[in-house]
Amino acid sequence: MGDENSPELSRGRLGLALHKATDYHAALGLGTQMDNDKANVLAQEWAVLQRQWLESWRLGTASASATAAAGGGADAWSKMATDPSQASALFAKMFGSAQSAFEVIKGMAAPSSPGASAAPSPFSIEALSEFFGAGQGANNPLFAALTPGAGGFAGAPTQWSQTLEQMAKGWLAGAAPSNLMPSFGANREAQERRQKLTQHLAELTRQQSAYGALMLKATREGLVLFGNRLAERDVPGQQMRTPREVYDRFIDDLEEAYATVAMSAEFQDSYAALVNAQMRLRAAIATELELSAKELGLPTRSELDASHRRMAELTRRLARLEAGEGAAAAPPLPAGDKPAVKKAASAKPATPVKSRAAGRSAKPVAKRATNPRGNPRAKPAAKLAAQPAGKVKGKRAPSFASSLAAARSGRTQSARKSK
Amino acid sequence: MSPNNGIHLDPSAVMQELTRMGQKLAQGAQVLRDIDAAKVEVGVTPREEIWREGKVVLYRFVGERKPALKTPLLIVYAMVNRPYMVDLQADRSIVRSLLASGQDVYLIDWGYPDGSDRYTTLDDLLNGTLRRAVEVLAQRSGEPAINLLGICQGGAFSLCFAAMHPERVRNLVTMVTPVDFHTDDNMLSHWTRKLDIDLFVDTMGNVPGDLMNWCYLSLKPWRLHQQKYVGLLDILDNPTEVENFLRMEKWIFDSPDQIGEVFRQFIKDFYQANKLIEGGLKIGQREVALKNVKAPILNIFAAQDHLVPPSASRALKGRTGTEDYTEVVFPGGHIGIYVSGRSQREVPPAIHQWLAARSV
Repeated sequence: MGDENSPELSRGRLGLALHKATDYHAALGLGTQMDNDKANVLAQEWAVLQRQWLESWRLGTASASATAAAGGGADAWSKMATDPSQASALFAKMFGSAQSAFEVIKGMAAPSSPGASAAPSPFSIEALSEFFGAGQGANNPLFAALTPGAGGFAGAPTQWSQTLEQMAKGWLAGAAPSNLMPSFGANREAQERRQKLTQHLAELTRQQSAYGALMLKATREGLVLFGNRLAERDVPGQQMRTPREVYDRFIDDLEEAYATVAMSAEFQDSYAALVNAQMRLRAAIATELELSAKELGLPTRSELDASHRRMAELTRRLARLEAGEGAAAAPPLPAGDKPAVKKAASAKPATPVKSRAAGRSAKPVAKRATNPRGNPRAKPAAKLAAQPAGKVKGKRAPSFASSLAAARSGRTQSARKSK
Repeated sequence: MSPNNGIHLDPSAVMQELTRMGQKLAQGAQVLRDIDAAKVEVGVTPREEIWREGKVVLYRFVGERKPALKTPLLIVYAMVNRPYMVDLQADRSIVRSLLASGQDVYLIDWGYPDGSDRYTTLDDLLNGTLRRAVEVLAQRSGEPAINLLGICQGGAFSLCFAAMHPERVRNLVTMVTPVDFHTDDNMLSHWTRKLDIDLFVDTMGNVPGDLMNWCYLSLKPWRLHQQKYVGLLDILDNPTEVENFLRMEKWIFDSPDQIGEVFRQFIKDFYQANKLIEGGLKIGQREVALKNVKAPILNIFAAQDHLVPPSASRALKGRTGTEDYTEVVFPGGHIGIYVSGRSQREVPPAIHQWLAARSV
């Protein structure tokens, strides 16, 4: 630990309060360690720097919000960082992370009590846990993704989710026993579905809670690990001297602890239970939505699935029928090099062809293609499948194949075009 | 709780860091403003479409010199990301290096599946589409068998293909390919082991690419969700580096949805049951036995790979039917093996030299 009069800053005396440039002096906790003149100079430099940054950013974004930010310091920057409309997403992401990083360091280094001296104060796991919202697993992206209303439930209407949440709350509190009573009458089926749906939501809530507890555990253990590592480095020459060094160490330790928890059997069980619970609820919601869609005469996911399934089966069947043509143009296999597995009726492997086909390899595929009877005008199956239906006269199957191919190639334009 | 004595911040160092951060932020705002995101291109090497089936396209890359080798090299990439990672930019392109060394390079692009592809199976892809693409290449080259370069999940696909159609594979290169899915250090596999995949696929249909991305990010949430963007500060004043960063970001988050039925079998048979090495894997009506892979194998993997741990790739050794097996361990991660400066210097030449000695 540094000497009381040393220019070094002890852990308990650093506070990188970016949002108050004029408080730089106090923010860095320099008061008792540096002479006032030097501190004042640094404070002025800091203030100038911040104005320069903000002005640069204002010019860079040329937005009204950035102008406002110039007067608001890091808080305003932070606002920009969380509002995609006010700054580029990349910058927002970066700055949000950078600010978090410095907040972390600030949290680690803040005095434990007003007027704390150079003597180190206890490392506060609780304070850092609070900062990270560890109880909710706030910094674990998958937790957010699997939370209803977030990414994992992107398709669920918010209002519907809220309704479900209310139902689940009642169920969890034991306040709605009628919701679980046997149902009867004309509305029996609907009531039973809703009951199951409510149970699924309650189960998901339970699993989220369990998962969140593991996130909390991972974060807490990461903080303990970090504290231990700091203690290990309390040797002259091994202390961390820059905020970035501290931050990187901090992340490494959190990551290490997270990996340990994430590889545990408990996590495996919890993860599976959470995902499975979400899927059950999602399926139940989809059922309700389908029923509503049917009432309105709208096509449903099940109907589309049935069509897609049938299309896949027909495409498969057609490919099998045409397999001989597709394979006919390929060069022969080397003597004695036979397929290692038996041919299956449903997936016939390539048929060896006459050797003359091999000698004409430099030409485009379509020009070299032959059918099993050696007709050089015939086109390979794949080529047929890719052609517009109208180009193949008098051949019903290829026309159908091309229809299927066209129907299933909706996003082929997204593939990069040839240069 | 522990005493926190390891931090001795030096005021001058703090000031320097803050100053540097401020300068980077200020310059970065201008850099970001000047970058035309639409011009930050990926997939830089010219290529021509030579075959198409549905959304799947077979491309041939066009190099500045004619191929010196007659045997085509087909790159089979994973379905979980876009394949332009092998051709990200001019100075980070495995494809370009392979072309320059004389390879005739092709790539099968799986495209962006949508709902109409939900019932396409692994059998359809490997014994159907991929087999037909390989036959097209065999036909073009006049060679009965071609060289395959399978990457990540595409490497597992290539192994399966080589086992089911050994007559069509002359040489097999696998890069960062999982073979043993049950090694102790495979976090992704650990998480999937008890998932109800039937429920999952029946409910989701195709699996959204964004959900897959969230899953990958959560493997290292602190680094990938936060520290990476703090690190961006270091390069924020360098337009070239920022453009490189943007390309990587694009690639990472440009994730196709996963075909439901393919996902179902891949997770159940590969991740959960580990059938690729345990046995019992069937794709369609065909059994997949690694012992049926007779082609020479070059197995390249990354020492610090957190998605496909080295142990998962090393498991290939001794499990195939070939006596010509070579391993190359690259010091880097799952992505660095494609794009780092060192990988550009080492990986493509290693692939070319190995193939050239075994091809016509």
